[in-house]
Amino acid sequence: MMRLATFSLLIASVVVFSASAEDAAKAYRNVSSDQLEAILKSMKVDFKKTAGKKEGIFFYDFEAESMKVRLHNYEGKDLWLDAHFTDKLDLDEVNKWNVKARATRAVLLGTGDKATVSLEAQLDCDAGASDAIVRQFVTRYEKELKNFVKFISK
Amino acid sequence: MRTAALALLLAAFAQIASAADEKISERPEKAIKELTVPHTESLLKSIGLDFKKVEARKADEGMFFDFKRGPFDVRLYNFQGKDLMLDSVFRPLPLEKLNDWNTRAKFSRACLHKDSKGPYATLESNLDVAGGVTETTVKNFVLGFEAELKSFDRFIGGASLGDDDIFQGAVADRLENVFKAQAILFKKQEIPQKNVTLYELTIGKIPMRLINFGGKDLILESKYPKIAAEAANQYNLDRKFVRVVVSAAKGNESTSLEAYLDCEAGTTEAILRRFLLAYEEETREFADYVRQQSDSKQAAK
Repeated sequence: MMRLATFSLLIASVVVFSASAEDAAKAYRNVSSDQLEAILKSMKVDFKKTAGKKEGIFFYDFEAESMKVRLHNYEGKDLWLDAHFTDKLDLDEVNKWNVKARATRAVLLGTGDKATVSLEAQLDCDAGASDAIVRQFVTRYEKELKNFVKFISK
Repeated sequence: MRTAALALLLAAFAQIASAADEKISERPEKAIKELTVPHTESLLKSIGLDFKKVEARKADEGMFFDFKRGPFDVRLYNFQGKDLMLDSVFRPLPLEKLNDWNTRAKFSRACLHKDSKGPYATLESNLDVAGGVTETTVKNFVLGFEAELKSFDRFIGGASLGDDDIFQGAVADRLENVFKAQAILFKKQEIPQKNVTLYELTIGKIPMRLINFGGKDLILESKYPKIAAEAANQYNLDRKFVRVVVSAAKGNESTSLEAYLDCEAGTTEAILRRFLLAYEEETREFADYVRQQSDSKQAAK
């Protein structure tokens, strides 16, 4: 009985200690490729990495909601998510989405037959970020992507 | 008797010596009217600075000393021993913002410069040596610049401050801390049935609204005259971290500039401050854009 009590106390202190360690967690100002890849892997995101033309820029391509999504890492300072839609949307519809959206914006690219719509979200990591914040950024984007797919199919 | 006399004499000497010591410590420091490069080096070493000496390209520009103070890269310029300047480089900022700093700062000035790589801002401070300074003045000048840099960095919502502790919840309290620290005027309105708090803010004379959705999401918005949908789309294409929305509601035709911050996974005071102050810069640039749109519309008529 005594042992059980001691063990419970130990567990309780470990829980309290981890909670306070979590409370004191610090944000980082730069997301390295290794960090970002570890976060994506922890989210079971199957990605393909390519390097940008400029040093320090990397792209991670993956699928979400049957769409090709690209995560851009600009020197660890900004993260950018986008997916391109070939569905014919006019500026009025693009604006309607922007009125109702929170975490994303839609942008019309090009004109005529070549016009596409990009659904975008950005995260400023230079101001501070954490693994949880980056995870939330991707998760939130995927949710809005799902809603955008519904929005354009109406 | 002899011993007593000797003791008295020694005591008298000790008193004289101690009075002389007091006089030495009270004596004003020697004034310097020219600070040589070796003297600058020895002063910097005496305050524990690990610096790199750089010779200026032009002879009349003197010598530079590069070192770090906290997170900041600082350069000390010694102009022929006659005057000293400290500076540190920051991202480019709107002239209005730099002017705001210059109207409130005592010991520094903020400037916008341009070189082949583009514009950049600096925070600068000068010390005239030719009029006479002491070693302590020079040491205080160098060491005191860090406080000025921290304060400027806070003013521009910089990314190099120490308040990076992640917190979840209590976003409203932290937001109000930031408002107070930045001297941001605000009016608060709670809408409990929607779990929403509205803040009417004025940052740098620009009125804006901040909507706090239960501490999970924050949206900043400001209103402008209506612009064409194509112009709004072009702005969204060119910018990051903001969204332009055109409202076509009858009797309320306007354009909104919005910024969003997701706090659900936690945030920091530094993130909140950057969110607010970066948005302030965005509003200035967007106001210019709206003006340009209006001007070109007028010109086309």
